[in-house]
Amino acid sequence: MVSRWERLFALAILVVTVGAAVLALSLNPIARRMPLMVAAYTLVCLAGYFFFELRSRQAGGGQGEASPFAATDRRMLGWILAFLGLVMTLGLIPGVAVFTILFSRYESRSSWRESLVFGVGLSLAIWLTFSVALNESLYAGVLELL
Amino acid sequence: MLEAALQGMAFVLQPSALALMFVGIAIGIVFGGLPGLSGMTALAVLIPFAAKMGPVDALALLLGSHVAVEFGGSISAILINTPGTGQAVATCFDGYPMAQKGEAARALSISAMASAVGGLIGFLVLVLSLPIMREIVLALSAPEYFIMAFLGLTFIALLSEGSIWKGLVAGGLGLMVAMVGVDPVSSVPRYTFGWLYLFDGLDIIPVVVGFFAVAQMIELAREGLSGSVSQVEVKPSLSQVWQGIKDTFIYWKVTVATSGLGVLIGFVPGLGGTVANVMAYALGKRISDHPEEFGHGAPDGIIGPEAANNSKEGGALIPTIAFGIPGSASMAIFMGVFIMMGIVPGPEMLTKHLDITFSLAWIVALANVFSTIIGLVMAVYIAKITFLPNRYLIPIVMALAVVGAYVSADDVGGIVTAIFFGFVGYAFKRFKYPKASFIVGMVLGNVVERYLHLASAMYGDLFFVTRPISLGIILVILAVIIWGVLHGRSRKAAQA
Repeated sequence: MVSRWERLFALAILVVTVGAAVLALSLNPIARRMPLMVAAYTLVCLAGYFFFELRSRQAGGGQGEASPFAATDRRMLGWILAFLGLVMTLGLIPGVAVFTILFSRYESRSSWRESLVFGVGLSLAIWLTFSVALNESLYAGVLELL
Repeated sequence: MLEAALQGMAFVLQPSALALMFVGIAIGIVFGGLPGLSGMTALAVLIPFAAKMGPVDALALLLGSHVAVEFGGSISAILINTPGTGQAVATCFDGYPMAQKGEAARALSISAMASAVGGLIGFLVLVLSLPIMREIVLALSAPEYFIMAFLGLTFIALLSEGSIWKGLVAGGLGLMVAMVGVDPVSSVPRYTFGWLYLFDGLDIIPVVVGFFAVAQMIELAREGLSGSVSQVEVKPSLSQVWQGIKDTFIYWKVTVATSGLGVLIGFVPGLGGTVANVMAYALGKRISDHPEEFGHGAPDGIIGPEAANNSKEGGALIPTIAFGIPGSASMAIFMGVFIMMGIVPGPEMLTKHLDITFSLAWIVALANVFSTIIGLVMAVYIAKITFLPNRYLIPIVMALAVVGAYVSADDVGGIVTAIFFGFVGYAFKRFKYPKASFIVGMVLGNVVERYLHLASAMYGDLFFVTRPISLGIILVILAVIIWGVLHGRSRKAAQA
């Protein structure tokens, strides 16, 4: 059975592909050649998918259809976005520290002590490896830029 | 050619390359042994480091890890009946029963030794095939390489799990992503939306980091954060280790036959390690003198899957090096590394960069030998590390992934790309789109475009129908798709 979500995902790919083809049309003939060829190839493959897979398989879903995304998945997606936000604002090392502490405390249900030790230890290890040993300059976040 | 072989070996024997190979092996064994993490996650974490190195050092680190992952995967397969990687599925069938009989050290030893022998056979085939491949490669031209890229994508789509159409679409999306950046011929920006970070094109590293490391963390959280598992106790036993080494040679027929099968499977784009592992188990059982013991801790039941796992790497490198067609996501990553370093896989690898190609072969051979030695000595202790709970693993891998994505691009765009492709990779996993097809498409994109322009300039716009070999390859592609659709239909009908 094809879920509503699966059809939606295929539709999203179709929109992206058509969008890419339309954008390519505004380029000069040399620059648009390969993108148009790739878009045409993907559209043909999508047409094959819609015709041979989606059409022939029993369409399922509807209002009451369960989401394929488990609660844990949704939480993890949220955590990853929060991680991105923390890194962008605080910078890499503080962002890693805060994320690790909060994740350990609230998602893994570790004690405050364990979370703090883990968070500080991990960010320290990363700082020592990248900044000190490898001499890489790590992103300092928007706050520093301000 | 002999000179290139010696030069290649000299590169690999540099202290920096050897040290990095050991680091790669250690990381590969640990990542392979941790159920839920895969060899791809190891590569995703290591590739930002490799990007800053010279070609041989980078390949020593990455290939060392890639080869060792196979043995790492067998540790958890043998001790907890859970394959650390998909490539160790069949190792569970006899490895775990042997461990339950109190012979875990022997099972681990067989796994390490069979991996080494298989890997060395793969290396031999790779080296011996180079002169033949050189002749074939030099006979082909830009139109054939252009079409062969699509043949590779079609094979991967056909042989990946699930629908062939999803595989083809994923490959198309990968090609599309490769179009981002300044057009190589007319220098016009494409799909950059004015963002400077995208002008050089999407770097493969943040994409791989997102696709395989970030997405995998969501899967890991699904499995639970405690990650506590009961394992078979391993007692260090020298006699068992020695017996394991001897077993690999006592059952030489199985060792040699399954290694050969592994090379063949590695050579065909799209057939991955899991197929090699399971098919080698079946072949081992068929040619064994005591098939009735399979499933109850038979030594040759471990030898077959492990030998094939490692020998397939030699086979998989042949199309990657010679034709520039990576047969799997990991080979696509290696190809991406070559391209980053200014080496284009294909004819150049067998002419201009033959020394690098030989370095690659030597690394495969040495990494197999070293990972076996480390495995034999340390397996019992490594086993303890592999039971790190997910609640520690997730923040560690996330942090390494994000820092690696930033360091590789030296731009915050790398982090955004990694997170974005983490979500895309997760969606691919949920809706069963093969990730390998996408990555292969992305890596091939720029190479394919180069061949397209070259072929058009040399033979006109209709080169794919005027060149007989190109036309032949197109017909093969069509035949493969038709077969894939018909086979998929008959399989569905049988299931219904």
